[in-house]
Amino acid sequence: MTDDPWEPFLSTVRTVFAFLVCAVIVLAALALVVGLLLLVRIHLRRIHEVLYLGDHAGVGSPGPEDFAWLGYHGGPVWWDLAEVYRRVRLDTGLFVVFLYPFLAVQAVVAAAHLALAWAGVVVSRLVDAALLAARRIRMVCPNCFEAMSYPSYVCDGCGRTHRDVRPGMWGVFRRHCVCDRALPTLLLLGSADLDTRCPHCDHALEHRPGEAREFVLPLFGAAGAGKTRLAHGLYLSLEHGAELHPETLSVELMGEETERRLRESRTVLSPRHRVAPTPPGRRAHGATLRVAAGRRTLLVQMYDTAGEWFNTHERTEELSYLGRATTFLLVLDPLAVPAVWEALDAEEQRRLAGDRSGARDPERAYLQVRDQVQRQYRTLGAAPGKGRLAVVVTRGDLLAGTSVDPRGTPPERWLDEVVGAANLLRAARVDFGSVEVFVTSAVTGPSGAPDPSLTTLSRWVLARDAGALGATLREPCDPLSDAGEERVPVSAGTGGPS
Amino acid sequence: MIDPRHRYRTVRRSTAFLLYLIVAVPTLMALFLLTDRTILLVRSVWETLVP
Ligand SMILES: Nc1nc2c(ncn2[C@@H]2O[C@H](COP(=O)(O)OP(=O)(O)OP(=O)(O)O)[C@@H](O)[C@H]2O)c(=O)[nH]1
Ligand SMILES: [Mg+2]
Ligand SMILES: [Zn+2]
Ligand SMILES: [Zn+2]
Repeated sequence: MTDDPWEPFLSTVRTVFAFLVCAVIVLAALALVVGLLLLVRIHLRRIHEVLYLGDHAGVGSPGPEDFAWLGYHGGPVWWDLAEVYRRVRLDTGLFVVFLYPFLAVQAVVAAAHLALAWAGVVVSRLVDAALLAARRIRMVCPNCFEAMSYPSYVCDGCGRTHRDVRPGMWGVFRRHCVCDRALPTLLLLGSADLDTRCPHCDHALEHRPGEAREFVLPLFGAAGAGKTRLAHGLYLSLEHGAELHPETLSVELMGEETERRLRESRTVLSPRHRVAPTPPGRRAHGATLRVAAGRRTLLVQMYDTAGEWFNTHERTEELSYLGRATTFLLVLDPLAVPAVWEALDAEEQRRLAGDRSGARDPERAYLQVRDQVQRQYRTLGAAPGKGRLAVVVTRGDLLAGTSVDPRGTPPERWLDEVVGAANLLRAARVDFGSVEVFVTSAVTGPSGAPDPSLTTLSRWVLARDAGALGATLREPCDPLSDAGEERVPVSAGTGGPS
Repeated sequence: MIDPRHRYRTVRRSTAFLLYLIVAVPTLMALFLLTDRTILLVRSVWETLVP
């Protein structure tokens, strides 16, 4: 063993040196810890201020032409992130680079939020659109006849009209109106409970569009043919069916305007009543009936336009509801046709003179409408030749007992032989997929029940587009089983097999 | 009109909580790791220099 005299000294130096190195290491570590803690504290405090307390004026208020607040995913999520970054940078200067990983994490969170929200937007819109498509719901405005992709809704807080409430920038499941009221964004989520407007003409829609299939039913024919009276009759026949079988069928007038128009149906159909001509100045407004059988519901929009509109091409052209319909009712007054009139004897002519309308040519309205339908189908890209046409001969009650009594003859043959409308029928067969002839009596019997011929026509009208509804009418409302016992049907009306 | 600070409150607050967690947990882990490594380093330096 060497006894180095320097040994104790060297060992002391080594110890001191080791201590110094360790001290530097510990100090460096401490500095790192303190720095990290300080930076993280600043970041967390800014997150707390901006996100937790919302203390940040950067979220823009809606402009004068905006209707709703942006959803958080529609911009504010990024504005918040930018604000946190701005504040952190001001606080830390160049040291902000050490916070980049944390800021990146925050950006990832924001991106995830965005992805989730937009996925919600896409999925909910797809589901809603798919449900509408599956139920074959297309919405048509009864006032301007335009098809709408979605109705507009009125905020129940402030009365602003929101044009397209569907999910998007302004909200996923609900949007917030400028007045802060939350509104559902889809029919699926209950938007139909709000006041509804047409996005094209701003007309109030009171029939809850989008909740049931719509069925556009145009009535057309010369002035005085009996369209208005027939519309009342169709409504009353459905209403009567619903009264007899409340558990299977229900009929409701949708909206004030429809109610005002059809409320008086029972009076209108009383045999002595004369219907005033529809004012030709105004365009028709569809009267909407909500017809429900079990779980199946149909919104029947009846369009009863004054006969003058079918005289000229210019006016018929304005009736753009024609192109949206597949079932049409051509209404004609048999008394107006010279062949029928001349077949009546003098006494009958004297008696019926007051009920005879002035238009002598039923074909004119038919050709106008046919051309218009074909033109509009072409514009809309709809398949032609699929339409159904009912040729409805009115005033069956007046014809009963005369020398041209239609009872006992199939309506089609009667139309052909007595009215001499073979040309019309032939043309109609070419233009429409199916053509049916009806003779109706738009009157009520002594018991107040509408004539069975009206039920027969309603049944045919509903048969294709609401099979179940048609069936409901068929079984319990069979003319023979209910009205038939009360009174002898005064007219022949057969729907034939449909 | 609601206080602008309360707009998007729910979603902002939940994002804030998520960020607290996401920032705090890795920080604590980093601190722990740093302390651990420092102690190891100091010990090995000491043992090398002072046998
Ligand atoms: N008795 C009886 N009268 C009818 C029948 N259909 C129509 N009328 C009468 O015929 C006249 C004309 O009927 P409207 O329903 O007003 O005819 P319209 O086609 O609406 O006529 P415009 O609106 O002018 O185009 C009225 O006096 C009706 O009461 C019917 O089936 N039986
Ligand atoms: Mg009329
Ligand atoms: Zn409209
Ligand atoms: Zn509002």
